Amino acid sequence: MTACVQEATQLKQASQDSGIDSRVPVTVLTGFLGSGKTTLLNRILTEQHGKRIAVIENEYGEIGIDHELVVQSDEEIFEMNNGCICCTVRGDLIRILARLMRRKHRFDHIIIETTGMADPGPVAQTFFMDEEMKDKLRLDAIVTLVDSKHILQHIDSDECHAQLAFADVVLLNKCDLVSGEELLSLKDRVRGLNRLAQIHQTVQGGLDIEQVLGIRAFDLEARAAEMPDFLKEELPFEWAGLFDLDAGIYELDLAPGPDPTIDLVLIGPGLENPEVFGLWKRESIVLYSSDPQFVNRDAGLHVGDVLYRLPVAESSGATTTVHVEKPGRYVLFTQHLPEEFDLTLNRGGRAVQPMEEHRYVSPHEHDESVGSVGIQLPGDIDPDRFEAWMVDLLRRRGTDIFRTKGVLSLAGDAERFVFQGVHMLFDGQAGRSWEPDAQRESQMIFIGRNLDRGELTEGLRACLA
Amino acid sequence: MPGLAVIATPAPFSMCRSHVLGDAVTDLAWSGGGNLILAGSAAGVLHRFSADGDALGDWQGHEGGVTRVCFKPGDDAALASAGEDGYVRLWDTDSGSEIATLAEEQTWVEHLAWTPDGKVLAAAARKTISLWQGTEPLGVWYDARRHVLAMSWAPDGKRLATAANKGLYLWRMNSKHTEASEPMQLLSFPGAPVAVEWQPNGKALAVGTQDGFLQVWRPAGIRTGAVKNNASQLTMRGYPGKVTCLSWHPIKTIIATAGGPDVVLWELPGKAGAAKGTPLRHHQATITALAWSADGLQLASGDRSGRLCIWDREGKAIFSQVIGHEISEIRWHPKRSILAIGDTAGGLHFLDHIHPHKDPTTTSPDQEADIEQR
Repeated sequence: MTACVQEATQLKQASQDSGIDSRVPVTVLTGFLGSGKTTLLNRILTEQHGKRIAVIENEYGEIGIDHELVVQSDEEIFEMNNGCICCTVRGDLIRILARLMRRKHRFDHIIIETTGMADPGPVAQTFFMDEEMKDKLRLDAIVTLVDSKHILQHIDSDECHAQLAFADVVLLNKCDLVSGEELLSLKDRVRGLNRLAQIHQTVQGGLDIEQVLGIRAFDLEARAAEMPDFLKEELPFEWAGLFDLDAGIYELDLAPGPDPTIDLVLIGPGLENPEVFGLWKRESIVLYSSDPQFVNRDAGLHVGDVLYRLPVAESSGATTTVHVEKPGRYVLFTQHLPEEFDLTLNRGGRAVQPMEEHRYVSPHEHDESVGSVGIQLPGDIDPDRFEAWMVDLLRRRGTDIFRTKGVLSLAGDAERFVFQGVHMLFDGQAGRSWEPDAQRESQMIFIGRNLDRGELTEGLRACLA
Repeated sequence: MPGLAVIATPAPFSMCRSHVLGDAVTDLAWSGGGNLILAGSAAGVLHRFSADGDALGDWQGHEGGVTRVCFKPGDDAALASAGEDGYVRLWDTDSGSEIATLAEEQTWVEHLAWTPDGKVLAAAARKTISLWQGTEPLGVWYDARRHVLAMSWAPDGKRLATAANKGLYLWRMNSKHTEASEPMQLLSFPGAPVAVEWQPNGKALAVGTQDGFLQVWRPAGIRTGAVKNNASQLTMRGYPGKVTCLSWHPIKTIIATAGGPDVVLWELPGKAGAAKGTPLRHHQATITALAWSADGLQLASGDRSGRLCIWDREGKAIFSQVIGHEISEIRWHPKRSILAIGDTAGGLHFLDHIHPHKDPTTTSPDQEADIEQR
């Protein structure tokens, strides 16, 4: 049995144990040499915040070791002998933290500094793998400090991608050294790699300590409340149009565009209610992840849960019939913006105008291999099936999945189940109770390399109770 | 015998003294003669107590926490200590005055041990093992590839076993006590060790690992019937957590171990075959300290919730009480049925057998006969 399985079997017990969390929060501070970690650490240690903070710095740190609360570490990585190739922990941290946590006067917070070259995985996993660490400490956040000027030249490296993808908080330091335009583009890039990270701009590590320490970044629920649209940005379509249609046959006309095909979904009727539209929008993510069906020239396009792929000829474009059986409000999702193909929906030679349009950011703007996949699903999740799915998924894909976070509606539970994972390991607990009138739903986000949206969405969907 | 233990009433042990030190007790050591016990604290203070639990004074030994305290075998007046400040120091325990500072490392000195004859002291920090005879440096054993994660002297005082990531190694003192060459690898295993302990008769070495395994090495030459065996490796699994607690029975081929809330006793096979494991269940929290009494008649275990449990030789819990906070150390008196327990809130507790009319300093003949039979 692997540790992943052990973790997972504790899932239910953990969700039932909603006592007060007395564990000491740990912040992992990571960043490349020269990004300003030492300055930030010194600020944290000298500022009057009333907190007793211990810092564990790597061997090449610059903070005076005279400081009684600073301990040097070795970055000693141990493999866990459980069959998971990426189950690694930091042996030195376990020993140092065990000693720190066996003191009479407890620390309020622990900060672990790591170099930018190191994979933050082993450090983060230490807090999931070792029973003592798990019992006494909780991972509060992974904070990545970047030198805004420097990183622009290196952002395409794998190391950079991994560092940014792992982060709960990205501090764009030395942002006074880059232009406003560069800063915007940098933020955009970071967002593309890691949709969930909180991004702060700083100069000389000068920011409110509250933005870095004790932020409970693993709590996706809180994060989702802060940015309710974080999943919306991930819609697989660039455009959605709401149309009031009568029963009958319409025509969809497209001019040649940038791609030889376009993917389409037409659903309805009954989308007058914005909430229903929201629901369909989420459903469309699932549709998008299935294999597309090429539009049959004779049969045309029909309303329903089908993802159509329409070939668009380079010379003549495309035309297809659209069959509507009942009058009502429908939504047409398109993979690309309509203007790119001069797309129009016509009846009897007259274009039908949408009642409402929605434009969405393309999910693959930068075509990075590192990215995020967010899933939102109404209804209850079956805990056993979810557990089995996660264990299997993380065992197969754990190397590429850096972070997992979720707020689940588990069947039979009065509270939300809040969890986070690093590579193959995950850990969770009960969160806020579901309000009686709340629509129970689950949200998950995966951050990693070469993520398959279809696989992830279908997987979670199959866990519905 | 195994299974959920029932506590005999009345409990044959009672708490007789308790002290609260300024910070967590990090290590405890009885002097060989049993007149003194030294407690090291996370505040760097060394505290001296009599066997009856009277405080006899304390002094600042280190900046930062004390990691180890070790009386020099055969000399109750000499104590070595190691600390998070990177120092190894020798003390005169009568006066608390420093005899010598032996080492100054740049990092925590986490391991310290005298050879059983008291001739050589070894201290390990990261990848370096330093050796002294008296106050004279004997040399340094250094292996650039491996951190010393745990170490233990063989009873003969000539071989030091060190556990490093994925392996168990043996360093030999040569006749001139000069620098050793390469250590010999005794065992290879996946995972990282967290504890290593020689069997008191030198016939086995046990290693507990981070990922919940117990590995036992037995040298070649143990006779089983007429056949001489090759060196062997026994692997025991099934622990829910890291196997941090190891305590060999002083006489029998039994080791008490813990890597979770159960004490697991392993009786090693005389011939080829599987070791027999017996779980002793009573604790609810992870066990943090484990020790056999010097006569091997009792086993004491302490856990993270502060519960102390004493087991008799049948594996029955004969004492169980929450005595403080997370228990960090348990040390039996070398001759009497006194038990010293340190906890992470600075509590130092003394337990004694409550039948004072029965002299516990000597083992009765029938008990000895019993041990021989088993």
